[in-house]
Amino acid sequence: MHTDDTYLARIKDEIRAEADAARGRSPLPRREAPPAAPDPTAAADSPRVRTIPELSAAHHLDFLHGAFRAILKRPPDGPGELVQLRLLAAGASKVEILGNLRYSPEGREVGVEIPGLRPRYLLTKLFRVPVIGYLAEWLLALAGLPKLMHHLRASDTYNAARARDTAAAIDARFADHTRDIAEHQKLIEEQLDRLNRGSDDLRRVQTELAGFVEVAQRRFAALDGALDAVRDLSGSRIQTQIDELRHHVLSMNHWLTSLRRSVAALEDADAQQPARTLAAAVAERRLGGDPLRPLRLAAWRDALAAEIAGGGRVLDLGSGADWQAALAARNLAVDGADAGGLPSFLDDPATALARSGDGELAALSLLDAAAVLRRLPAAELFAAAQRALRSGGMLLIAFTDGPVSIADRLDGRGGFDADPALFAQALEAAGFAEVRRCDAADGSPALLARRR
Amino acid sequence: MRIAVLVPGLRAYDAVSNDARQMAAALRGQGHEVALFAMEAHGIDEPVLSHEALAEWISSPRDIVIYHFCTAWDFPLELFRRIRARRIVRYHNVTPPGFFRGWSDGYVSACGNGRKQIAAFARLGCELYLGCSPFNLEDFAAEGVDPARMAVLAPFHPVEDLAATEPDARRIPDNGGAPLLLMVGRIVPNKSYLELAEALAACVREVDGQSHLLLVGKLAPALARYGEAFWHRVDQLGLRERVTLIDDADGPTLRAAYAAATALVMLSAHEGFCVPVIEALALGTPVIAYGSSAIPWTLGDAGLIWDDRDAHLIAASVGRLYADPALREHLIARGQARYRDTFAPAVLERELAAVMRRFA
Repeated sequence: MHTDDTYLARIKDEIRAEADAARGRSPLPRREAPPAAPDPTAAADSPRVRTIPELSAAHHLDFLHGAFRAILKRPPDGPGELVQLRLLAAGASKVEILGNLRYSPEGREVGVEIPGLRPRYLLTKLFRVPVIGYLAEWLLALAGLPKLMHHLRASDTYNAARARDTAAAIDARFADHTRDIAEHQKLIEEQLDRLNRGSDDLRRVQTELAGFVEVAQRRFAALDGALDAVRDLSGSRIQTQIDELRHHVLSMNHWLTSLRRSVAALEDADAQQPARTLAAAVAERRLGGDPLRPLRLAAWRDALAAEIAGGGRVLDLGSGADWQAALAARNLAVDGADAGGLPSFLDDPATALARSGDGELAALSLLDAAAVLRRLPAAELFAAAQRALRSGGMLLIAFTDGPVSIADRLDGRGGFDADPALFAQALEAAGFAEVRRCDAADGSPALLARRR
Repeated sequence: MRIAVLVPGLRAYDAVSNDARQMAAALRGQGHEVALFAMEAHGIDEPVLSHEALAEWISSPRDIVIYHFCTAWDFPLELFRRIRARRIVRYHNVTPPGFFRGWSDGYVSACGNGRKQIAAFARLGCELYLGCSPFNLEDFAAEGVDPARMAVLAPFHPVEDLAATEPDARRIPDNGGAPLLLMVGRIVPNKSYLELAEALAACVREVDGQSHLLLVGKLAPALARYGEAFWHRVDQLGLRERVTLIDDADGPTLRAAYAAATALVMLSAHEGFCVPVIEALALGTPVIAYGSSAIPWTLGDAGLIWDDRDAHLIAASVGRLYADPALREHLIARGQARYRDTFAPAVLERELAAVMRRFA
């Protein structure tokens, strides 16, 4: 830890060392003697003897500066000059000023000789003595009155001559200035003419420019209109057209997809035709050999018909031709897509549902629930039913054998654990109302549910 | 008690005038009846009476006349010889004529006359010789004045006004952050402008090629030769582009000059006090100075002060201040403390009151 003094002392030592090194590295050029300036007053001030008339010839500042240079051999300094100027302004004589300078300590040192100055200077000092000085000055003035009168008359003559000369000089200068003014006036008028011509040119150019501006404004307005039209096209109109085009493309795409699937289904049906023929023959025999099936179908048909008293279209998903016939017998419009043989669409029940419009169906029936659920999960089935059924439309689900289940078993598929209570809960959870059992008399389970 | 404050001339932006006017104001604040007297007054916005009216204004032997002695003037000498009042010589110093020899005979003569008046005033046995610095009183001590009749009072100054001024830097040279050497003061030989030019040359060679010297001050017409010699030296050193002179600076410009400067470089060989030094102390500008005359007392321990004006020594000082922020902060802190403790207006007013108690 250092004190301030030692800190600064150390810094100064380092600075001094740096300066020593720098002095050796880059010495500065030697200072030259300043340019000599001769004293312009030296020659004029050199005489050691001056006369009062010679020193008093000039007036005011000229007199003072001359007196300082002659008596003190230097120009006046500020305060000194002011003091003497104030004395002059207060009515002091030039003799008194000369005496002040000559008999000051500095003037005595310089010692310039001015014959006759001392008695006259002492006399001016005598005038400063109260009473006596006043009387002395008065007597001297009285004694000098005739001379003063001569001087006054001479002054009058001088002043008159001077006034005449001054008037003549002023007249001459006035004439010069008048001539100058006339010349300047002429020049100014010429300049004004030139400016006026320039102004006319400017006005003409301004008019032309205004025309150009007007044309430009019209063109800009037209351009603005065109830009607005383009902006409209690129806005709502173009957007509408694009939307329509997109709709057409999507429709076309959908149609092409449907077409491809239909073709594929047809090709698939053709390929599976022998197996389907066999399965259809077996199903017909098996279902026909069941004496209770007509009773079950009749009970379910009646229950369904009671719920859709207003009529309407019914879509059936693979319940069998006998079921569709039973519905038709009650004048219900049945979409029997599987009329004749096995319902090929059951390979894709979702497509069969998708072909129905929103709220188009009065009822949807699937008595061979196991066959449908093997191809379409319950959640998707219920969502599609909600969409296709109208409000209040009915869904009938039964858990009995149908032609498709028989065909599946022939293909080695099958196995379904019917649990009506589970499906009842699932229907309620899916938003259906009035979910209830409508089991057949032989105990075959079935469920009825209403779309809200 | 009436107090007459007598000055040769009163002008704005003049150190003696500032001291006289603010001293008068402080005395009025202490309850005295005070009037200013001068031969001339320019740009002063308060009443100034003619010096010729002073004797009549004094009404009692207990009244006081304070004469601000800074140049040769016979009037106060004559006045002090005959007036029946107590007399104080407020001494600002008179530059020895030797500094002007070879530059201006007028200055040699005027300063010579002023110096001669020191002895004349000393012989008058005035009641008090009030120096702006201890250095000033050495002149009267040499003439045998009794130390009991002498006192020191630093001059009153307008530094607080300057500090409150908004800086205007439009005329301050932009040298890209390189060292900026500042000098504030009239261009007269005793202030060592030739040495300043050489210090700048050393800076340009050794510290930074973009170093710049900013001068804020006037050149008296009678000292035109000295001005020519300065510029001749600047040209000889190839520095014309590196020197800026502002000879009509107002307060905002001066404020900006102090704010921009790396240091105030004061190489003056003769100063009775040196107001620019306390301006720099108050405004936080480090000071590098030649320790002549009153400068060591004014600056105290708040700057880098040297016993010679060697260009490389000054340049190395500038370079160190430029590169050493800790040193810069150290000097600024000391400077502001010195200003606050020694030269703040409240301090000066207290000291003036103590001086005036001698006349109670």
